Amino acid sequence: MLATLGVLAIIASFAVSTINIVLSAAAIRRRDDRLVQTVRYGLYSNFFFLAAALICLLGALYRTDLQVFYVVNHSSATTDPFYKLTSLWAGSSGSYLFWNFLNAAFTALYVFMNRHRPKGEMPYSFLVLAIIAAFFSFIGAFFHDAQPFRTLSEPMAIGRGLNPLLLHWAMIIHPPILYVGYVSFSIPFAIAMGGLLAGRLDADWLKTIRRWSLFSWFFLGTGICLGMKWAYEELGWGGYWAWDPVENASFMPWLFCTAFIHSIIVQERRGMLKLWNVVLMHLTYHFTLLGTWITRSGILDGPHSFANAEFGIPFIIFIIISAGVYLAIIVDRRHVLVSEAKLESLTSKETGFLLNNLVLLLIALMIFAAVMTEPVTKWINSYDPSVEVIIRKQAWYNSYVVPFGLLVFFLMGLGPLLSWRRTTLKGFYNSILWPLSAGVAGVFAAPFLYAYFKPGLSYGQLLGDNTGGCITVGIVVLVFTGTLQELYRGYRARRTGFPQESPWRSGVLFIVRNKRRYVGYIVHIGLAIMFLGFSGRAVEENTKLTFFMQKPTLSMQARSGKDISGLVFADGNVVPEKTGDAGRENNARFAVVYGSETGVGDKQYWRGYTLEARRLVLEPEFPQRNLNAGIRTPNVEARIHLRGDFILHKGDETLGVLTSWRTFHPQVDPGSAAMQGSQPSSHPAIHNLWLEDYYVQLGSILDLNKDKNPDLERIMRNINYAPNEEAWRAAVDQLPESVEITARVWLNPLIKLVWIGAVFLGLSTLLIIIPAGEKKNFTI
Amino acid sequence: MNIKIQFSILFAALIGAVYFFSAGDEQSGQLSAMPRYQLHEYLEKNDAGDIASGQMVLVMGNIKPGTIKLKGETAEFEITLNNKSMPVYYDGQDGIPDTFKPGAQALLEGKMGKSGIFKAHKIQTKCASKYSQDTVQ
Repeated sequence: MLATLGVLAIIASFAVSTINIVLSAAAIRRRDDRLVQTVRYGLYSNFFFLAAALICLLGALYRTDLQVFYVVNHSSATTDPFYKLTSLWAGSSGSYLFWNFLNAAFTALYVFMNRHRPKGEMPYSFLVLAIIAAFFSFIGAFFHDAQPFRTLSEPMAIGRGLNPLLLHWAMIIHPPILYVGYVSFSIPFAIAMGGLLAGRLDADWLKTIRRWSLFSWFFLGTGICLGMKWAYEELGWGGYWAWDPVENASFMPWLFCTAFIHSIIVQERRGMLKLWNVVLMHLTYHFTLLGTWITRSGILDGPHSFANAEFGIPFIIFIIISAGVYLAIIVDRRHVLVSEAKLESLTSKETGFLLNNLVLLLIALMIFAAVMTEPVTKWINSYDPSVEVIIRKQAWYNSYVVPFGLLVFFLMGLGPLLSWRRTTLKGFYNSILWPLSAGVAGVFAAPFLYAYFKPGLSYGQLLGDNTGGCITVGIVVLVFTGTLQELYRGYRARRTGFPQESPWRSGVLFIVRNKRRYVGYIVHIGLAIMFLGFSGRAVEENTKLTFFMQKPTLSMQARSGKDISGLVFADGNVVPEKTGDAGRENNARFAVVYGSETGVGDKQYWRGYTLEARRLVLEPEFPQRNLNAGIRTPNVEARIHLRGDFILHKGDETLGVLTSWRTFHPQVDPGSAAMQGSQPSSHPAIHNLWLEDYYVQLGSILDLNKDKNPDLERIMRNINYAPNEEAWRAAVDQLPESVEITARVWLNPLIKLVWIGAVFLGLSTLLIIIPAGEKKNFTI
Repeated sequence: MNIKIQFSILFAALIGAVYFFSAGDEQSGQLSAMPRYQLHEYLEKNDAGDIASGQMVLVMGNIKPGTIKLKGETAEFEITLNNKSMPVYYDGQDGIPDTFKPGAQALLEGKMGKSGIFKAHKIQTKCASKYSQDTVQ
């Protein structure tokens, strides 16, 4: 029922969007204000239809309607209610609906905020938005892999549940925030194109477009940072950025928009770069579409993109046509985009902005070329097999993209020091003297910082092996010094202008009164902090440590038995607990603890730290719902944890307990409710030290007697679900006598600065976005 | 001199300088680009002697069920595609991925060893999981 309503809502959304296109075109042609008003209602109703569709899907997910295919694939009755709702974006079609909905929501917001505007100005941007909405709903209505409401003739027996990798706080907020960033770019784009078509490119237009693009830029950037945090804390490979195509897909529009929000300042101040700005907005928007396409079309074989989608072809056709048509419009209207001023000097702010823009563009295009290497060579290969399919590896990005990133970062440090129009050579020299000298000093001081992480290496080795890192540190110093110098200059100017003001008041007001400029510099500081964090990668290290452990003997069981709920040992046998609580009793479980006879674990010394492997705990976990209801959990709903408890020491001091585990999530066949296999997920443990993270991930477990890795998950399932005592004993006998466990360990220097810088960056951007300070009256 | 020309020279000089230094930085021993073959393609080319011995490549295939032997962080298994199969030894450099399972699609990075066993340094696996697919099978 809900599913049928959902389908109807999507079809209605397509219908109303098509009507919106016709009506807004007619409104433009006839200059009819009443038609504009009708389109407004049309755009609102598209939002309501898609909201209805979204509510239908959420309802089906919440009620675990196992007749809906999407629910079967991404949720289950035992999924936590909160995660049931977040499964909205766990699959391709659900997230596509969410995407479409957000687009309609932003469109409605834009229409609402401009409700008092003269109607004659609006139909052009309405037309642009209606075309986007109609296309999205067209795909949603007619392509079954973009349609989360497909139903099965009979309800399935059980749901597959949420992909275990998505069970993480950052994964709950990362997709919606990223989507907001992606999707909301259609608004500044529509404003840009609408203004261009209407021939209205005044200061008001500029301001509106600037605010919206900053908003989208903020969300896209925040979404990317949250993705990094998730990757770091959940995936267990020690890092946060791998130049994965999906990451690149979101990074490219971010780069274009970064260029845009800077060059728009030049247009505002000097009336220059008008054509360039419109082109940048065009690129930003079409790269958000392209990013969606790269992620969803299945053209890449990357492990974390969605599977092949049928709508890949129409989607890319739409992108190409849209990009072509709007480019033609820009070319056609280039006469209204003529520059009002010319570049006057190489040592001017304009030059700085332009250089920065060009390098950002270059980086984005380099990444694009690298991402497209695989699909393009694959396509050529299908016609001419002698051409090999080539994949660009991470090393390529690190070798080529990162240095250009440093160049942008360097220009970011210089930009604020330059003046508009022209800087006299003396003034230029005075401005850059201190920051540049400090930066150079920073490069040569960096090895002293790195010496902390790599003791024993000579100064020359530290400088020579980590040149990139040292240069980064130098530029960070330059950015800091330059920004502080500019902030101080701003403060001095305020003091001179308002000598009667208290110093504190001046200190606040010089920033508030010129918020965009000075808070903009503070945004730069946030980025510099992140870059300092990135520079830690230069001295990152990782290794594998192995530890010996034994199967519990009676004496060990007595010691460790109490540590685990639901485990009591008697006479050398493991028996389930009895608690008197029906739920727990019915869900009594067997856990097994490996350790050492003495209770002190095997220890390994590495890079100044000693890691002790205290215990390896093998235990099942049952869903809370079953515990509450007192129902015995079937095998297909039980997860098996392999948990390593490590203790981190430095010298005699114990720093803390690090618990890393691997969980085996059952995968079921929804029709028969039989278990098909399982999907493991890794959970690293991270110990935060001031300057570095000690990052541990439990790796493989080797049976030392049989010299191969035992299938501990299966053994634990056999023990917990043995039909009789004989089977139980047979299963227990399969437990290895002694094991060697591997811990994969990373020392990640300065990584905390990445997160601190990201928070700083986000908060300071928010300060610019919120409509306070500067001039009060604003319109969006 | 015209400011546009000055600007172009400045831009070109900056890009050139960075490119010069970045190109010089590519010596970490990791390859920045690699050819990628389907398993059967790779075996054909290898048999024909079209692939230099010791050349690092990417090979795509599916992990053959029943052939996996895990020992610590290392793995021995076979990959298969289009009725061809090839034994693989993975040195465990990055550990065994969570999605490493029978039937999973694997992208191996490595080179052919002397004994006809492919030595893999890196494995990317994409499980034939139902999670990412929305289509009825």
